[in-house]
Amino acid sequence: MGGYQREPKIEYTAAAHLRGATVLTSLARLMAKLRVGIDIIEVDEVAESLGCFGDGYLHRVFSDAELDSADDVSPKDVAARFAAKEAAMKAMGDLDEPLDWRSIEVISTPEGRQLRLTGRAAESAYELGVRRWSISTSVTERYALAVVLAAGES
Amino acid sequence: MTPAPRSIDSRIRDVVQDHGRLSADLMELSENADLYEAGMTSHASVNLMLALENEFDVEFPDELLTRSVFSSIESIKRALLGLHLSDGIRNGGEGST
Repeated sequence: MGGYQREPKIEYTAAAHLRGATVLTSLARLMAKLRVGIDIIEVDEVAESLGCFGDGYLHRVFSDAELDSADDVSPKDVAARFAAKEAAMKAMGDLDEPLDWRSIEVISTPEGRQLRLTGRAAESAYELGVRRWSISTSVTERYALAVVLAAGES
Repeated sequence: MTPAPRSIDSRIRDVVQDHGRLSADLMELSENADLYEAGMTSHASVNLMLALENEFDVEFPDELLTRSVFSSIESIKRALLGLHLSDGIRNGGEGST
C-alpha cells in the first residue's frame, strides 16, 4: 500500500561536515576560475550592416574558417555569431588592446558552435588563465543573444 | 564655384551620425565625448570603422583596432591623421598637423 514514507534520517557527523566543506571549497575554486560574458544584438542592425557593407563586413569580422564552417550567413546567423564574439570579449574583461574580431572564431561543428581563439586573442586568454570555452546562443526574429563561459584549469 | 572642402571633423561627425547609432544627440557632444557612453555599441563601432575606411579611403591596421581609437571624435581624428592620408584629405581639414 503506497503511503507516506518518512525521509531518511540525515546523520550529521564530523565526516559529513568535512565532505560538505570539501565540496564548498572545490566549488569556490571552480567559481574563482570561471568568467562569464553575455551580449545581445538586434538582428535588424546586422541586416543593415550586411546590406551596407556586404562582403567587406563579413571578411572584416569573420575568418575564412568561420565563413567556411557557417551553414549560412543570414542576418540571424551572423548576429548570433557576433554576439558570441562580443560575449567572449566581455568574459576576458575590459581589454583595450588591438583585437581582431577574426581572432575570436565561432566555428560550426556537428556538436554545435564552438569558440576558437587565435593570435593575440588566444594569447590574452591564456594570460588570463582561460583554458576552455563554452558558448550558448539563442536567436529570435528580433534579437540574438549569446552567453560565454570561460574556464580555467581544473 | 567649387565648394569649400569639408573639414575632417565634419566628415567624421557625418559618419558617426550615420553609423554610430548614438542615443545622445551628436551635435551636443564635444570632440572628446565618449561615444560608447553616448550609446554606441561594439557592433556599431565595427560599422563606424568600415564607414570611415570608405569615407577616407584608408584601412585601419590591426594595431588601431582598439576600443579607445573609436571612443571619440578626437581619437578617431588622431588615428586618421596618423595614417597616411592623401594631401587632399589633409588640406580639407583644420585638423591638419
